[in-house]
Amino acid sequence: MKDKSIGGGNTTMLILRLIENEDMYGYQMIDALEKKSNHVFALKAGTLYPILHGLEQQEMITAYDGVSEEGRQRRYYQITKKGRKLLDEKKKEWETYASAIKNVMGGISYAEV
Amino acid sequence: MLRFKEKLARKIRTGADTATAEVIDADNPKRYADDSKRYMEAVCSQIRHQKVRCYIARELEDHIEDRKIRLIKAGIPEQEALQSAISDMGDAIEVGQELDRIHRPRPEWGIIAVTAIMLCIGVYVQYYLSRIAAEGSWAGREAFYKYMTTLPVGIVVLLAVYFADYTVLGKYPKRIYAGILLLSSVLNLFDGQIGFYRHNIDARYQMVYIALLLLPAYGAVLYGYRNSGYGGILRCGAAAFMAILVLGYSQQKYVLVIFAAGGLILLSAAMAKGWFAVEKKKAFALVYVPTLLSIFGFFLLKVWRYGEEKNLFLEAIKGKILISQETPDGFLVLFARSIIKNAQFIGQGELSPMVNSNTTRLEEILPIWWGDFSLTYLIHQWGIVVGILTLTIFTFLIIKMIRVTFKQKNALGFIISLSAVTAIGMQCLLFLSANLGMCLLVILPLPLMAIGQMSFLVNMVLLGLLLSAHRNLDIILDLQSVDRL
Repeated sequence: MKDKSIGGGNTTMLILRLIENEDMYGYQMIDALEKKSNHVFALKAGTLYPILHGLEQQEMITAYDGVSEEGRQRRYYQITKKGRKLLDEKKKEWETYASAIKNVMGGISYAEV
Repeated sequence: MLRFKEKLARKIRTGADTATAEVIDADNPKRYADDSKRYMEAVCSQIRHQKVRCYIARELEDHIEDRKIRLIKAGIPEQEALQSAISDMGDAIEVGQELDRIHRPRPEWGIIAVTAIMLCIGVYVQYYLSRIAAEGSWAGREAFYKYMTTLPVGIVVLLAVYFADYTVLGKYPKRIYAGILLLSSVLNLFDGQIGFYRHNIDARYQMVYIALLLLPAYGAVLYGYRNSGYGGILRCGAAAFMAILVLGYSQQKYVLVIFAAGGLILLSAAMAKGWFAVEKKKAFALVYVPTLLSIFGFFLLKVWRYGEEKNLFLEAIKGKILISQETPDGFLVLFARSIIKNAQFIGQGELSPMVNSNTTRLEEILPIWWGDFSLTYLIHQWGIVVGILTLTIFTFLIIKMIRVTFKQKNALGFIISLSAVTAIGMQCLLFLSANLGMCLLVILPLPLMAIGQMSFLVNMVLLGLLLSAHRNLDIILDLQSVDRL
């Protein structure tokens, strides 16, 4: 239910997954997502920041000002304990969903069509 | 209102479109920066919470910049890179509306509601007490009139502080702190009453409210010394010491204790949060060892004195801490205790056996029953249920305030809120402990409900500060944030 307010459950899951092991700033996330998904996911900044700010208000992530590799000051996001818990839940939901799809798709026999 | 917003949105959207068309042909690099700025303006126009606008704009600008640099590295000319970076952001109006939904000013309805309830109860209680006072020649008669004239002023003060920019405290902490100290030094010069617009103000008794207002200012000073190491802690200590000197000069020594206790709470919180970027254990030792030593030294000095001063000191300890019946303070505590023991659960209680048999009315013997001891008095008149209700209301208020404080993500908002809770909490503790017959250190009016004009106004300011900080929960001020979890 909560997902709708922070804009799409799967995007939230992907964002949390990205910063699970490393703090990142907004642009870095879009960049990483694009690379990791072989350019399948192209997240717009306009979608990303409302989600990030929403997650921050829900205390799933916290933000701080850090310095990027290029030496610029950027707003970094860090996952919180609460955020990790949410990510775990999302992962489980996704696994159930993905295996359900797989079962259905795998069950179709093209020979009979 | 909505129609106006739509109009504005359309205007900005079309404005942005024409600007884009112009820029593509133009060869002027300044135009490109304008284009990014125009995009940001369009986003911000949708965000009603004005104070968060610039923080959001900074983040989005950085994003466009990063994207542009990436595209230029990939061999795309600068103009095109910027255009592409901006269009990658998404529709400015939609993004702005989405962000607006998240960053709305948030009123803390719980605390606002409790404040309103307390004011209503306060009015009724004052009315009731003044009616009884009118039957006799008691000094409480005028109190209701005074309370009612201060009420609207207090509400205006609260609203003014609520809508004002509390971050000013963070911008000029030292000046504000020094200003309040200067004011208290001036008040110190007056030994008695100052005439002020048909009111006589007893300067000495107002010092305590100055001390309470000094707490948020001290919080802001602590905020200003973040990341400044042990030197910063020493400077914060020096700032507190200056206040203690000024307040200690006042005739009411408890004022100093109230400020010192509150200040120590704030400083401890700042150290616990790692504001000074030093080893926490050492920081605590640096503050607490001298503090405890000076308290110990103070007691030693008092006891070693000869003559009357030593006797006065021992008498105070006997009355305030040992609660001996032979001292006036101790007697009052025991008296309040016996009034409560003889009270009904609901309805008027019996007179305490400590009252001699000639007296038929509690008003004749309980001092300041319409003010300082109004809760004890009301427990006698209406029953223990009043005491339970009061305790419940204040426990709710304080817990709510503490929760609001710890929800603060912003360091300045946190310390200002904490100073408000500390100041209000200390007053409640002092009033309730005396009225419920536990101990009598000093009585301050119960915030918002008991008589006392200055008390009322100061507490409205404190509440206003806390609510204002909560309202602007989102403002990210801390450019070199040390609040990393």
